[in-house]
Amino acid sequence: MNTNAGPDGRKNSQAPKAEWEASDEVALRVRTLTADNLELELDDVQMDSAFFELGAESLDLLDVAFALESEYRIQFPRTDLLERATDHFGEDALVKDGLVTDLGLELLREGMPELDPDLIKPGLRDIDVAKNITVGSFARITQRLIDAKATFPRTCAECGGTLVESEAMPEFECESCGVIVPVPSGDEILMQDLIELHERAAAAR
Amino acid sequence: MTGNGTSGQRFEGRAALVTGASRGIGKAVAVQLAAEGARVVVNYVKAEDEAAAVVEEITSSGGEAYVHQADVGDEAAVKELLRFTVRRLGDLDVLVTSAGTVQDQLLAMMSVKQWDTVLGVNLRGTFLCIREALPFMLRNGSSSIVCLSSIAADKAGRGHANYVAAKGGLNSMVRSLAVELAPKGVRINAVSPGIIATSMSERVRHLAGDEILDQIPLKRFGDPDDVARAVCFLASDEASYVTGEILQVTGGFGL
Repeated sequence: MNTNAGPDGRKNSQAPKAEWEASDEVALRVRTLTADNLELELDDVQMDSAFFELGAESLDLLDVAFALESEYRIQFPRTDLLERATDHFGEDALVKDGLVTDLGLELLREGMPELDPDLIKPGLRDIDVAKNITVGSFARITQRLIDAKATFPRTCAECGGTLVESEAMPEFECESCGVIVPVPSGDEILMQDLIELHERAAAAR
Repeated sequence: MTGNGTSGQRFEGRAALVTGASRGIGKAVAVQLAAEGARVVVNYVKAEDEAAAVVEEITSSGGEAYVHQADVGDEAAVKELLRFTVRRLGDLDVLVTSAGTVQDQLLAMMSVKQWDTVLGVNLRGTFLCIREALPFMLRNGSSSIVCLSSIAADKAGRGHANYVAAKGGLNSMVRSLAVELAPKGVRINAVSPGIIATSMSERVRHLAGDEILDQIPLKRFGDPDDVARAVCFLASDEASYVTGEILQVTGGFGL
């Protein structure tokens, strides 16, 4: 399933990284976990379904995120895109007086390509971004974190031994010295992606 | 059987983390949870030997316990504490936040460091432990958090504005989180001890022991086990319809 399409199937103009597209398997798993969590039928939960339209509350989103963390042994981001990016771009640069700034709108287009393009325009309130997070957003993030884990260096920085992925926790353990290395956090990975995408988009403009 | 008059294995197979468990109330809670069947992680910040002794006490009685050092005010350390806990126990059903500190001083002479340290351990530390425990506790569908508060939050006294602010904030946080977490089956309560015979209250008992005893209807200082029993009740299924409660264990002090 293509998570880069809007609810009406349109593609956004900014092409995201190919690896951001969720595989069919991950997409189905995210839909299934969401449906289980919200006690809905699977058919009611589509990639373009907004969580809040499905009746989810904030804690339900966390529950789904934690379930995905447990299943894939990843560390889901704890902050949303605008909050995460504020540390880099500066206070008031992305949201001012509750409204998303022009730069904030740019970042949303670049970093959340599955959002409805009609939503991302001047006058957008930051709280409305959270209301429009879709199942597809979670699928894309999950896929990104799975891919990031797959390319994580498997050599121990302490002793040069081999790092083996834990079957229980989002971490690796060195076979030789036993040192434990957590998988990178979703906040870190998505922030790096966002900066890279933004710089690429700015260069293209 | 615990030997404390409580029958049954209320925590059989449960996984529990107790912060600040090297001595005092935290130690009593860890020992009692283990005596009732829980597998326990004993957290400490400085008292390594005492924490090891708590683990030894539990394991020599046939229980399962592990020790882990972490300053609960340190975000990275708390993250690792929770990872360690789930790595060892496989799950987390019960969290008891008992780590605490006092640095009493009249406000005019209270340093920012004294303020920050006490708020950092007692309030920020509790927040961090709960936040990092939630991913594991939410997935159980039925888990319990018990925070150690203090009668100081409700009974005015001079010289500990930092501690009172921290414990008052903790009580409010507990009530707020009770509402926030209830839909997911996570209960959270606090126990508010009065004057308990621990090293933490040694100074106040030494300075005003008789005067305070006169104000305690039960005419004795509390024992850590008195508090541990209340904590274990709130952590257990016996309290399955109790959340957002601040249970005073004070011998009537403050009535």
